[in-house]
Amino acid sequence: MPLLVGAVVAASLQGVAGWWLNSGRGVAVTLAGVFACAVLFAWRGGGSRRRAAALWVGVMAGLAACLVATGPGTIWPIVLVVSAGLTAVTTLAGTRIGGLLHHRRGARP
Amino acid sequence: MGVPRATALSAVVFVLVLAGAAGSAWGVKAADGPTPARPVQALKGRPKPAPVTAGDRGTTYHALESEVVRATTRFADAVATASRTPDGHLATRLTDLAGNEMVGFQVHRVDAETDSLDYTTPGRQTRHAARRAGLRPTLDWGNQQAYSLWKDRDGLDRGALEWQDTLMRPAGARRRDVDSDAVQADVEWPGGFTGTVTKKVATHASYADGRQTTGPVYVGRLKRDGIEVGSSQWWPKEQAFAWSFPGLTEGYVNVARLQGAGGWPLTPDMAWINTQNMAFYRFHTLANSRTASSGRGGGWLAKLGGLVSPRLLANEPGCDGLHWMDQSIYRPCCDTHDLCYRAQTPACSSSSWWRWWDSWQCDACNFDVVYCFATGGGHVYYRFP
Repeated sequence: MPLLVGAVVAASLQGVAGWWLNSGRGVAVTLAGVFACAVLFAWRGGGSRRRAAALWVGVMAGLAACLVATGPGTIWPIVLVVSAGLTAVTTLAGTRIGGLLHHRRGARP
Repeated sequence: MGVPRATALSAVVFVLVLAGAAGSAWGVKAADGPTPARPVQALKGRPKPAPVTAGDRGTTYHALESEVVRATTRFADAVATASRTPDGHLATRLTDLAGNEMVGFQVHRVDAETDSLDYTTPGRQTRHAARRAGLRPTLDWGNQQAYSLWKDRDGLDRGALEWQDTLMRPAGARRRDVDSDAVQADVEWPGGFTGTVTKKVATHASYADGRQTTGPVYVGRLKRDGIEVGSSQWWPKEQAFAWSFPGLTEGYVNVARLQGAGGWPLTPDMAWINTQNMAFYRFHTLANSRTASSGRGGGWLAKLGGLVSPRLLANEPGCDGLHWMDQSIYRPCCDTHDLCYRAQTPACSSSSWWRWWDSWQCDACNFDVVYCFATGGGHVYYRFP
């Protein structure tokens, strides 16, 4: 489920401001979307690394598909590496925060 | 909807130019009568632009330089000031440090291929000469030529003149590097822009190995209405050029980074630094405004449609797919990579990354850009007082 949602969310967010790494707005919108997904999945099911990894793989699959569709530029491997780094950090941060929320909810009497 | 507007504007301009051309062609035909038809020479592909030389620095350079209103070059013993006359001629006045006029030098445009060069010394007969082929006169060149002829004043009466690279000298005169004699160059553009380049000796961390290096440096500053908008530095010993235009662009290039693109096509001098600074400001400001306008407007359907039929070209100026970083220190990495790709025969493309067995030259470009991205973050631009 996280894999599919990640791919769909990442791909559809590219429709908001074009390819996300071409503008600051695109970066903000895409990372906010990925972060929200990571928080949501971790909050509902706990902050498992497997779920976070699935989400990240899905996001990267969606982004890579969009990059191919829009025409990969002359430095596309670097673009993918930058994409992977930014989305990985965001996914981890979102999963961590979602995991904390999940534990707080579980600990509530 | 930036693209349809741009397309419509381009179409209107094209139709106007076409109509103007047709009208002028008709006018010529009406005046001269029918002319014999001549076959059109076909070209195989798009011809490459002429290589940049010391005398001809390319269309973009000369287009920007042609807008300069006044150029002043300060030497240790004289000051040369060149300006454009309303009829398009170039006029240089060389004075001593107290402001007394010593010589005058003019470039009179005769036609597209011919210029008349006039050198005037008070109390002496004016000397006339024809411009050398392949030399495009600039205000800075006029200053250098006037100063050089003044320095050669004792030898001028003795015999003929000859061209030594881009300068007229008395025949057989010992070579002189006028550019290194200059200590400061100031230019004025319309719109309140002024540029200044000064020569200094300074210490900085080498771009090649990071060690502290002392040597000559040319520091260029561009101002608008007296407020600095950016600066640059040329380190001749290192062959490194660094720049910083806050909010627009920052970075450096040196021999290593330009290796894939064939190295430096010319030796930067004060005039080039001033023109390059103006180019940084103007073209990056323009690119920013276009990015801002193309990002506005257009609904969801248009944006989704853009994903299916991409508007962006596969190879654009800047970092393709990473234009977010176009104003960062990574921009020179991308531009150098683009130059490197274009310099190969056949030119490399995005597919060169996975078709690595096809051409090692493309792989060299790719290796360079990866190395540039991996190490570019270490660069710090130091401003000098």
